[in-house]
Amino acid sequence: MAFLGRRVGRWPASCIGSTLRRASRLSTAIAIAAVATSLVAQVKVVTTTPDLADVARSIGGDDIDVRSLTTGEEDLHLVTVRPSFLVQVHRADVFVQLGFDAEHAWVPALLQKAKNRAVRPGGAGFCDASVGVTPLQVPASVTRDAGPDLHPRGNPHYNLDPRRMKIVARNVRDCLVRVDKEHRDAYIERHAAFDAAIEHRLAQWTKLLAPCRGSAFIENHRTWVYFADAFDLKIVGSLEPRPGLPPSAKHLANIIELAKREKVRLVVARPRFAELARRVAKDCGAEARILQIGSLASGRGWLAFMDDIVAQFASVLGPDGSRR
Amino acid sequence: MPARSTILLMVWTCAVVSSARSQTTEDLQRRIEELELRHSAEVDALREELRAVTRDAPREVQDGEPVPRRGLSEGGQTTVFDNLFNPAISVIGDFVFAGSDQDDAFDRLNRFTLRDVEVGFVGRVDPFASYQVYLHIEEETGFEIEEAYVFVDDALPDTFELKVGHYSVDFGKFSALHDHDLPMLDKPQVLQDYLGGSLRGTGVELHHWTGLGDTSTLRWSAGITNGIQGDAHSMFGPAAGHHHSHDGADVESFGKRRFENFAFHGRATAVVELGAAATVQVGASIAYQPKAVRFFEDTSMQPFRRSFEQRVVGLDATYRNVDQATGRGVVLVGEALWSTQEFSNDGFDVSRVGAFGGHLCGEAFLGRQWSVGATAGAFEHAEDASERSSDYGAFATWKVDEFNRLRLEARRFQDPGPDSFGISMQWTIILGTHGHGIPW
Repeated sequence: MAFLGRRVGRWPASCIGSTLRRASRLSTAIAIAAVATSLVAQVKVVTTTPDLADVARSIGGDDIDVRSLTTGEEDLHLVTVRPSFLVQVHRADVFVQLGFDAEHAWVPALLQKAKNRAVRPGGAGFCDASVGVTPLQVPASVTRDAGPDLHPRGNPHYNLDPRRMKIVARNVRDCLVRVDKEHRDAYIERHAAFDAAIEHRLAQWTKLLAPCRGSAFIENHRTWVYFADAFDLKIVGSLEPRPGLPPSAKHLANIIELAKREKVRLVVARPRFAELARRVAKDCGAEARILQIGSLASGRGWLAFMDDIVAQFASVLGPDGSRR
Repeated sequence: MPARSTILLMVWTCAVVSSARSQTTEDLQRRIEELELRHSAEVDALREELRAVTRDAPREVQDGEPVPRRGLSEGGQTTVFDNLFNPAISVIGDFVFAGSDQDDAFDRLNRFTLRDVEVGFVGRVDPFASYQVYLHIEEETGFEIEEAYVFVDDALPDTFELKVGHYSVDFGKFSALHDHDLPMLDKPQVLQDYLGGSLRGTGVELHHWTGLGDTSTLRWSAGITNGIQGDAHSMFGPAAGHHHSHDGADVESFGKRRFENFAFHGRATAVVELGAAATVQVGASIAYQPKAVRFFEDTSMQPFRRSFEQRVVGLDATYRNVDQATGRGVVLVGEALWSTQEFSNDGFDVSRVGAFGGHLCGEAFLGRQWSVGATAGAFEHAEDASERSSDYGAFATWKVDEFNRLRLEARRFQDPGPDSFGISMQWTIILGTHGHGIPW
């Protein structure tokens, strides 16, 4: 007290009053800033793919800040974890993954190292988008004999089926509601609108591809099964003899013969297999379409991506396509 | 007229009532739909919470519900030989054919060699820690525990983690890698000379990382082990063979272990992102043992005690630019090491040796399957800096798929002894659980 007394004794009363006033103003400003920050604070959502980011953005609107860890061009099984991944997941409120082991090589280690319990499996902010999605191509037995890229829980490329993406949207909505109850009504409202938009576009896409029903096509890797299932198309073979194995000359010869026999008019492949797809398409008298298997981070979103994919299929397999 | 008015009034009343009833019905229907929509997510969330709560909580089986028998014997208990909680297992095989014109050819040269069978067991102990065991098995020497440690990865605050047990010390870029994970056949010669190959230790290691902005990380680790211990399974060069060095075990044979007999190590490394495909990593590492004591025999077979202080400091830099879409790109690694050893024979004949060395490695990825690369290294010998060695080589790697890899390598060595040339063919296979981890 004596010490305090000496200090006060040295300072004039006006100076003390002025200092207190300044401190009061400063603390008021800090309090206002804190309140303002909390009012505009967005839920930080990190997704593994741009498709999932677009779904989250459609439902979360301005209430969330969404980032996709990948650009959509990578092989999702072989992504290298970068520093920004760790930082983003560490700070995230919600983490959305495609699931079905699509990200098995890097997401478990990422979630472990990022040290954010809230977004790990079991945490409120962890969203496995595949929950409730009925998988296709679930292997009867799990052995690498079936191919290096075997997915024990089924094919993970269900983002190509609008019906299954409606389930994804519901999963994302539920996760956002769980984490951010304050904006629950907004999430529900935007989800309903997004769901209606998918339903509307699905009707359009179905109509556009109706003339192609039963049409056969060849894929490079086992990717398009959900798309074929959604629009009643037929995949007759893959350029890869088994998932993850590059094709041999003998296998390609067999595929070309099969394509001719089945009157295949379309060969689809991702950009890095463009050359192979074009060669096979040329040899069997089909057309090659080089397509991404999900929307790109730089693109216009999942609905626009699907618009484009459907248009590409319709352009080859539809009535105006290159019929034999 | 009154009758007609009455009838008209009744008709109008019925119409109004009917309209009102219709409006009420529509309104109710709309309100029900709104409520359903409004509360569906809440109900789903509550169901999810209920599932989460009941998943771990004991509950009674309902009438007609099948009784879960998984993991239970007929006696209703988990059996002694139950395998429900078995760890994940991996097996890695590394087969090498190595040929050399080296005169005093080590017995692995000019023959087929099963260099390494690594068996890994990994599993969670509880919510706070995992346990990881890697056994190394080879033809001549049988098996050894390569690593076996508890990893406290979910109990400490912030991003801290703790390793306790026998582990690869966090030092530089290549020291901690198992041989089959290297981009080339053998660890760089300078690591073999200064650290004994892989720096291993039995002790405790603390890890922590933090974000620097949005696209960079700073990671550090610090640890204490019984001693500086190297482990090598090299095929070529002056350090070829499987051997351990500087294991520090002798310290215990002459009495009480003191604080100065322990070894200390640390590493700090920053990874900076330069875009969607490129990163730069820089790191600094140190391993220091104030006083190691070992017993040797002189020419007359008389034992004498030799104590020495050892310090190895390393700086490393890595540039990685690999397109995630095509798999094409380059990885460049450079590492410089300084070794200081101060010897004392029974307290006399004190001598100090300072040595410097380094290596460079570049690998160009031509796609998902093929890569070619080159390495070069040079160093002064840790125990006699007047002697120098160097080597350079090239390799080509074919990843048949994710679990199957072939590598061809050629290398030339220049040593105080005669120069030598070696060529090798390596076939590595991976079975079971594996993860790509984080390259830092």
